[in-house]
Amino acid sequence: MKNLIVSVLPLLTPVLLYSQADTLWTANVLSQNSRSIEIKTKADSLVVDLSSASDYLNKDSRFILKQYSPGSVVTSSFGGASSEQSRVLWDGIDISSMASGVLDLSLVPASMLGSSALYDGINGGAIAPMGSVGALNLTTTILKGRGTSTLFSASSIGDRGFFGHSWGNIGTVRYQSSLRSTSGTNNYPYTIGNLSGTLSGNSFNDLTYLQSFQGKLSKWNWQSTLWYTQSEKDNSGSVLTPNYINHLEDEVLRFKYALRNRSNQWQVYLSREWQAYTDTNSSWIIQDTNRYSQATMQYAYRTEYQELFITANYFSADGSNRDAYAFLPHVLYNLSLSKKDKMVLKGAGYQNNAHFGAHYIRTNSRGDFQNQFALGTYYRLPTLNELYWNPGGNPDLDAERSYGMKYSLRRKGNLRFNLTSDQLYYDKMIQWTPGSSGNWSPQNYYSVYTSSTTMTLARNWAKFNANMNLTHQFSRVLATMNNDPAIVGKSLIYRPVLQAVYTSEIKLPKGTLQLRSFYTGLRHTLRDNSAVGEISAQYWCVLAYTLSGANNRWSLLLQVDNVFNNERQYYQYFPMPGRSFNINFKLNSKR
Amino acid sequence: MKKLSLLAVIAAFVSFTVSCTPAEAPSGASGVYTDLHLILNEGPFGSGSGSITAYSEDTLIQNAFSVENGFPLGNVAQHMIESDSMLYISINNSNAIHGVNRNTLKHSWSATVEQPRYLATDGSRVFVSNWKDSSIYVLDKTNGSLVDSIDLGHYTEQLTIFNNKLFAGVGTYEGPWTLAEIDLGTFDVKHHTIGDVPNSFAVIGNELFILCSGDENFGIGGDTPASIWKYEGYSNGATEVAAPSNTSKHGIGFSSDGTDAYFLNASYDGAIVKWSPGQNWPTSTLTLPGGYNLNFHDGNLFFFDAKDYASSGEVRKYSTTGTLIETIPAGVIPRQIIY
Repeated sequence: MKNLIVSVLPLLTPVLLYSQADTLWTANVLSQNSRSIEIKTKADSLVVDLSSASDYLNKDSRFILKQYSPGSVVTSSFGGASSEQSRVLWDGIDISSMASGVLDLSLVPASMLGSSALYDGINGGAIAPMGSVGALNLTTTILKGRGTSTLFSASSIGDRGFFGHSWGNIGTVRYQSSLRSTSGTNNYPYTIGNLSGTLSGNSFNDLTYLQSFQGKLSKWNWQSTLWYTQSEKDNSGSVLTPNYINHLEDEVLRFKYALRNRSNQWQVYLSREWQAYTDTNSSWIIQDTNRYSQATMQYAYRTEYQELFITANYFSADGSNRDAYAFLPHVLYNLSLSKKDKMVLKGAGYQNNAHFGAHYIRTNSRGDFQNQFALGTYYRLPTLNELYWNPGGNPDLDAERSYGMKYSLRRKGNLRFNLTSDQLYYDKMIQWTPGSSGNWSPQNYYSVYTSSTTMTLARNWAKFNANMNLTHQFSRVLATMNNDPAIVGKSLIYRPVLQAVYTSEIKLPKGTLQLRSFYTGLRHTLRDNSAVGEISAQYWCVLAYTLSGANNRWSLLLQVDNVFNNERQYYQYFPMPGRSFNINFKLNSKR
Repeated sequence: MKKLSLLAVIAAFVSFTVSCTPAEAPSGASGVYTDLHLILNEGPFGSGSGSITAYSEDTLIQNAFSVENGFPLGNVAQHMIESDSMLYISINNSNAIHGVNRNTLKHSWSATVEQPRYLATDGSRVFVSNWKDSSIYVLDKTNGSLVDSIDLGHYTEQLTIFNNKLFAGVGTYEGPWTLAEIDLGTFDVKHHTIGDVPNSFAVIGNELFILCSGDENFGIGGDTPASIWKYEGYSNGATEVAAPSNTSKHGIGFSSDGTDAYFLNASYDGAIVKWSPGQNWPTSTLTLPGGYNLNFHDGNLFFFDAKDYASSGEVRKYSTTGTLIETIPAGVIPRQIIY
């Protein structure tokens, strides 16, 4: 008890405590073989500090992004999922909004993405407490040694950025502070077919402050992290609806404290979000204010072959359209059956119902090759908005149920190869539909089959590196609640059949040159896949030159985005920028 | 060189003149679309564009405006009227009124009116109601230039010309609601008492009737019921002639064959009901529900089914007894037909 009381002190005066700590851990039994590894180029290393997670993850074809303009609110999913099915975790704690079901990745610093943050397909469903497919596990790792870095950036379309970072120790307490601020006016010319003009009214600015302390108290390691974000975003609507500015203000304060020893870990997570939205895209100005809270306590027990996570969550969402709260106890159990076989069992209590998931994974390795087979059943819990939105919320909504299978083949070595394929059947998939009262209401509407396959190839030569990742998605609606013949047999919307990213990096006598090309296939935006709602396939590429000097004390990145000025849209009639120029300059202290 | 400069000046002048005048004059009854019926589709809200579906017995052209002009109609197509071989189309979120050749669907002119709603024409003028301010704007039919405006004191909705007067439903989903009677010569305005949320007009036996949909708050607040009102003249205004007993009953899409009226018995997902002057509020339906709007043309009822509002809708043609005659595939959220 004494230890426990003393351990709370670092929350207030972390610098007074002196010790060394290890890295925190989450679900390692499962993750040993199931996480995919990131390929990071020199240019990626330079932009990671200032980028948002959504901008940064663009280099991975498994990542499906939707945004109106640079810096705007982002909805995303990983490997064939919908936005609500993919969850964002922070050291194993699910931090995606339980009100909307999503987390805006434009407000998550890419620096919180570890090299193996992305769990694709059903492996994400296994690890995410509330989601079913794909997960992103964020972490705040304090760099070794001590130092500072400062980064400035500017672009030809009005973006500006600043990132300051310092880390080190005060006595034996490790610390890390970072401040990230980006802003943009998004004034840029566009062309969409026969339409052309200049986009305006989509400015944004945001600020992120991260502060971590880490130390040791007797046999316990502790880490406390404060994460604050503030943002304001304007959206002027599509180019067909000019001059209306919708304004979104968002402020989130998150705090996590973790305490662990060899076999036990306690984590406490608290968050509070304030959101104000003003919509002028009608004769009435709609003003909507919301407050979201989450309090989570997690206990984890680990031995060499098993892990147990017991989590208690409390969520609340109050504001203009609902006033709701929920308790969500959750248990996750990972067991190593043998060296090759692992399983996960998970269960949640939510809205007076119990929900269970199970995941089995078998891994075989021979030489440079490793292959994996996994299968399981997963659930996606309905959000507080879906249950209680006024008007239209459906308190009788059931959780989505899915059954999935995954096969992965990986080759290590100089020529790296990774193929992973997920096949999923969803039952009771949730969808908002118009009701007879004129209110839209979420229903357990769809039965759907999805397939998502990603292939990654990477090869390193002495002065040349290349990698390509290609994702193929297939989805078919098998049935709807009313078996609407216009929708049955059609693809789910906003899912390109093919998405690809190719990166090549060449080391020059001075500096490094990188060319990254993107391809996103045709997407449907209407549920009946009507041609009127199609967004054409698009291709664009980015050229980047990096140069470092004085033993990496300074680094420079010059970048040409969308080199060939190609047309790009994530939503119909919301053009992304054409060719633009970007400069990043980073100063590092002597280490 | 002097000649060349002069030619350049003339060319520039001609090009300037052309850009200020209609690029496409009405061409009479001689276009691809002359004999086709035209369905106006709202299009998806927020992102995407409205569209026009052109059809006849053996022809179906989706997205016809965009096909003919190479650019989209705009976001949320609200209303379309035909006059003198021209179409006038209001595009709500795009703040635009388009003048379009009825026979070729070639774009002729565009005018900017913020949040336009409904249209009416008289002589050389197009009247435009809107949800941005309290004016009805008066445009020149030939080029869309702003001629005049009429202040109504509040946002305006449906418009109709009756007995050489312009009638406007005043108020949106928020009151106060009135029926405005506007003199087409002097633009003098007289407001008459009317029910909550005047929605649509119908002329039955040479008399003007107004359907008010009633105030609807979708479970957040209390509703008021729909009602039918009859215009009794400049001095007497309008009087209520039918209303349901239940406050949750609403109605939209008033249409008439000249003798009887038809409308949908709910604001969304309504079924067709028939009403005749002198009758009480109708309770029996002619069709299944699912309607987003209703029009009457050529002896038949056109029932607009927006389905899930995120897929292509359809238009169902019913006889006045409720027999399904034909189903026409339309665009996203079909709301009106020009026959």
